[in-house]
Amino acid sequence: MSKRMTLFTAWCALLVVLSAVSSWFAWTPFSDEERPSSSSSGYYRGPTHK
Amino acid sequence: MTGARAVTCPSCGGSIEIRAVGYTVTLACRYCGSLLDVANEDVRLITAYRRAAKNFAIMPGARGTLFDVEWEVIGALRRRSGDAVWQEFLLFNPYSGYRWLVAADGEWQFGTMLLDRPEEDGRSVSWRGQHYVLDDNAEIETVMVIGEFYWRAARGDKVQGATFANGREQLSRETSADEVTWTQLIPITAEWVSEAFTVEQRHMPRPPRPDLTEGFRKAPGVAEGDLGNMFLVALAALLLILAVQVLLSGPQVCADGRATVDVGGATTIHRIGTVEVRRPWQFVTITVDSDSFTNRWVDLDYSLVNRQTQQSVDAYGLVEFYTGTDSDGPWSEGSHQAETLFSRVPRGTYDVFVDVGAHGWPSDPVPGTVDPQNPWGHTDTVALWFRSCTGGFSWGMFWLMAALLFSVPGLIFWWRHQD
Amino acid sequence: MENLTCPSCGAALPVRDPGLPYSTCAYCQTLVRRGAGKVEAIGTVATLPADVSPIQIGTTVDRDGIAATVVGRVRWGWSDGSWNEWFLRAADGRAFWLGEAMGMYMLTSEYPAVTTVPAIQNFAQGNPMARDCTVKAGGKWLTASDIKEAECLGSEGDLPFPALPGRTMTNADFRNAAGDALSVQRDADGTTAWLGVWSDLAGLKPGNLRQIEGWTMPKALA
Repeated sequence: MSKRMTLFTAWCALLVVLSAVSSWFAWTPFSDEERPSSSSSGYYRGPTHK
Repeated sequence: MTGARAVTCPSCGGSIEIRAVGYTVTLACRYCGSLLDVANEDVRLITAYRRAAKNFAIMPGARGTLFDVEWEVIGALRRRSGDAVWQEFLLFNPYSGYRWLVAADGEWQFGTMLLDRPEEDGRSVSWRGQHYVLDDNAEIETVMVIGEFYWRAARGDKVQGATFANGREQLSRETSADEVTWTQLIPITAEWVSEAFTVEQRHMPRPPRPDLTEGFRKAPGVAEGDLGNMFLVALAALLLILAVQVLLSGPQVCADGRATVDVGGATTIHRIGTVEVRRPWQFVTITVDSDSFTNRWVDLDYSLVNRQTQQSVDAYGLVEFYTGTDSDGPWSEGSHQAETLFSRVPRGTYDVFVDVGAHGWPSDPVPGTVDPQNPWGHTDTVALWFRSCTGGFSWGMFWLMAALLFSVPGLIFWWRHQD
Repeated sequence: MENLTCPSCGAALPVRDPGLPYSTCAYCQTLVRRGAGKVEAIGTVATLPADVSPIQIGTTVDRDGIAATVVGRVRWGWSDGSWNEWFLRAADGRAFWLGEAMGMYMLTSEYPAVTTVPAIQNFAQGNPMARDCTVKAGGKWLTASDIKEAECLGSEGDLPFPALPGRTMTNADFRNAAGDALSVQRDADGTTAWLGVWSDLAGLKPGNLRQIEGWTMPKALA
């Protein structure tokens, strides 16, 4: 196996481990807690269709 | 009969000794660098240069003993492949023939040309019972020559060079328009070389600057075959990530609830179930389904309230669905379903509350008017069915991982195909 | 035949190989043809250009059942260099050529059978030899790797043909993965084929090598 293939496989393994850890601790940068709530004024509601 | 033959450089007039008399056909003058044809008695100028290259780690003329044989360095080449630059020294002994000394990345190799040929089998070769795997395959350019050579050496010579490795031993295959030559390269310590020859350390080729992206992009030789494998490895890793995320988010326990809200009315709070988080940290997912309204949106402010501590975790959801007609014909937008993901919910039992506000678009319906969509409706309401579950799947995380996995082979693919 | 003298300068002409018709006087470069009891001068060969070959007349080799002694040499030149062909005789009278180029050696014995192969016949009729042409000789497949037009640059010793200046030949070298060698040579006298092996000098178990000034003979070869 070439050097860069080895490096890439290690990178893939790192990402798998990271996803396992984040899944176990129920962590994600994309949860719905921090989105603007209905109380925030001036937030547009309605179709974005043009 | 003396071993060496003296010739006069037709370009600079300098007197040069030919050491491998009878074998040497090309000579690069040590004074001016001009390339001379010395294959025959008369010396012909091939290419005139003004200045000879001096900065080689070992200069032609040096003698030293390696592997119990005395060698004379009779020629030196500076060669380049991609960003890698190295030096090769042609060694000569009239009784033992030619050998090579290669200095690259601060390391030395001793090369012997093969009289037999390795058996080629795709990306690997076998030679004398040993197996060698392709390591490198790239174009090599000779950028500087000095001394004498048994072939027509010149600056700018290009060959395709492939290296096959078995441990630290290598077989090198150089393919030019005229011929294919194979050389066996074995590692040799810098100490041995220094004991044999005077090595100018300051002229040793420097190890290339560590540049990961360069190594990944060019990786001389592996360029051809491993991209497909990289995509396959990335795909396998992504499937593994999918499985890991699903398996490590459980156990899944769900509670159902429902709510009905007036459109245009004040927000109302509903309790839509209880969930119990049994792990130190877990995702909680709330999915909502609505009846099939149009031109409405429903704001959903969820709260998971811990029964013991009364602390709440809040998140937000939205159901919206609009239709209309424009110059392109009828359109619709939105969905009657929505999923909300809570991350890092600590262990505990939670009551799930939702603060619901429903509204019409472009404006709330006026109470008492007949809605053409719902002419017999008593009041304009939206019905909602909730399902709150422990566990969850973060699609955001999944796609982030996918991007990180595929960006590497993707970038290599793009680099390779942009020119 | 024991005490021949050069008809041109009178120097003694050593007879290394009574079976060979041509000999070169080492002193005046006269090429001599030896016939039945008489010796005639037929020309002057070119002085051999200097080289650092470790082989000399009298050098012996011993490889693959071939034990032979060098009795003569021709130096051939082509557009990009030159090489030596040393002529050897074994005690039993068999003849061999030892080609020397790039510090490597090709030891061959005559193999006439291959000249009936159509590709070689075509070459013998004066047509060019295609590179990558593959022929079978002695049970081995060999591929043409090197085709050269060569001109005689000089000669010494005893030889089977008159190596006068201006003599030309076309040489096609064949090789294979196992290190076998086939050399097909076409000249004015016809086409001959020589089959053998590539070797380094040590592999020839040489004896009586030339002492080259400025170099020590490796102990293994001395």
